Amino acid sequence: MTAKLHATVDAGTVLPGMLPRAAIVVVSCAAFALVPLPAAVFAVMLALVAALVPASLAAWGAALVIGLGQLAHPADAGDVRSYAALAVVHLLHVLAALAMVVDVRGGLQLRALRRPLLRWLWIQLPAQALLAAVLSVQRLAVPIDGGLFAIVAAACVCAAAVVIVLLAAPRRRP
Amino acid sequence: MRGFRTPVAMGGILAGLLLFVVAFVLGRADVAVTGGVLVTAVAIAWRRVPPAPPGILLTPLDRDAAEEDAGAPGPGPGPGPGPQTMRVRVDVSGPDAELVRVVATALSVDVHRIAVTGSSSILVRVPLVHSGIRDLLAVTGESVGADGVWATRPAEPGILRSATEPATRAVPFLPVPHALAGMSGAHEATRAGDGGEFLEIRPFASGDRLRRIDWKATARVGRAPGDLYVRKTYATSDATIAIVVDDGDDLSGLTGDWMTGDPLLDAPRSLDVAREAAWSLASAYLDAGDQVSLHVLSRAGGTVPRGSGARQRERLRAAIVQVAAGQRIGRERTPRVVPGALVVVLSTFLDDDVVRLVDLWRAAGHRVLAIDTLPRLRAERLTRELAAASRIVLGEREDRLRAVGASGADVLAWDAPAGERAAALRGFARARRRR
Repeated sequence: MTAKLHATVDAGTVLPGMLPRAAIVVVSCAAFALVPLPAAVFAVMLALVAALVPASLAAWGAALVIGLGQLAHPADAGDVRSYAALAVVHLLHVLAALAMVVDVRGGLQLRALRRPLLRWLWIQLPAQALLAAVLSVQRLAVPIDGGLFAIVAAACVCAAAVVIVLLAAPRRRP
Repeated sequence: MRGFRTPVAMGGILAGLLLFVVAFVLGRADVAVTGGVLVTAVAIAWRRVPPAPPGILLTPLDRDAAEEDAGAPGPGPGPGPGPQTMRVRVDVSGPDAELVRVVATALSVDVHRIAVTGSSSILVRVPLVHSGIRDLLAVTGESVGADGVWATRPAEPGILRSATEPATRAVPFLPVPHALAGMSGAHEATRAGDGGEFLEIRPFASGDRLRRIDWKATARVGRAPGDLYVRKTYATSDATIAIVVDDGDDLSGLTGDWMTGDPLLDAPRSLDVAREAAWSLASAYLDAGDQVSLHVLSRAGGTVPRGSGARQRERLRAAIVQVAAGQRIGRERTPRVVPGALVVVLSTFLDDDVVRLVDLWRAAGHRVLAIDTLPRLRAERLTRELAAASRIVLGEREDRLRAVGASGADVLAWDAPAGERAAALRGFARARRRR
């Protein structure tokens, strides 16, 4: 039988292009441990839609469901679900962005994952620390307005993350 | 050519703000932190969209040089059969880009998509299946910003065009025209002259050169003083060869592939065989000091007038490499060949035009060598219907080849075992002496 020859592309370690899409579904499955069952099923279904059609923005729907699912249990500094939800929601954002730009029939250079994952880490570090602080303050039952406290907490996350990422970013040569 | 924002930023900001609003209403700071993280991620990734697409540079690498030093540009494919694969380094540089979506298309059909870092170098190995000029690799790319919040339009494709020379096969026996008209050369003419084999011993006559006197024959045969005998030899002459390439189609030996013409199939095509035959014969005839011309049926501009020597060899080499499948100019067009030339017709004989041309040349007194350039046939990828159709087409082709043979042309299948080809050429080379 006559063989069919193909060109080969050598770009170091290359992951299959469907990996970000599969990762969205896998990561969204964490919803079963983080949010009540009906919401978890809804989140995973949205993730499946996102894996099939990344441009549908359904991945952010899944992230939203997981984020809002935190309302189902009281805020507690000792509850790991709050920290895990924070990480999962952010990771879904990163993976959904990758799924939108990587062709499902193509490949993704492993090296290309380094910067998005490092950025995820640099944002997560202050965010997780701040979340722990916020949950601890709420546990102290300090008489402060909840809404105002939420705004302050989010603003602090933004400021801390921006500062850390800017410090961690490589200096650009003139 | 400016870039554009993708819906990623919108998705992140909408989800983050929604979480933020709910957290504000319900007084849940932990949910607000989650929303804040999404908004922050988008804010950090937000940059001015660069106006220019990524830069893409293609550098062909020589096989050996690629193994020694991947950074050194090489000269490209070498002469002769060439390497089985061509290595091409693709340098991608996307300013401010986190990813570049690269689309590499090899041989116009083999598409590879890969997302690489903003500044990277990748190596593409393209199989060199066929000779001739073709687009080996076309590469384009789009820059993508951090977290995919922006993307540029695709860059102008960088195209690497390669000219692969056909292989050269040894041609041990050269058929020559029936009548050789040249005054010098390597072939033996049928008329008396200098340089050839023994013709006859005859009495000395006015005009004979003194050095032609055969003293032994004179001593043996001479009866009276003053009888002189001279030794006559055949003359040697060069031949005029007109190579005519029928570039109307380019087919592999797989009849099931004739409709699609897949360029990735590891099988020679008829124009590969035609280029190889034309180049092998042209080289052999030029080595023998003959005058060689080239005619292409689809292009008037593809003609190389007859000539010999090193410069003619280069002209022929360039013209043969450029032969590509094309529509014939006109059905009545007949390439002009020099009277008395040997016409070598390279064709698949899948239509009647070439048979008509052979008949014309035979009627004009040319010796014609018809070379069948269809590669050896293989019965693969054939449905029942295709098998029946191919039987009909190939049957008609056999009839044409028989008609060509009946007109007095010598018929040779080039893609045959070397021994068979050499035996056939030997027969054609001897045939002239009998006539």
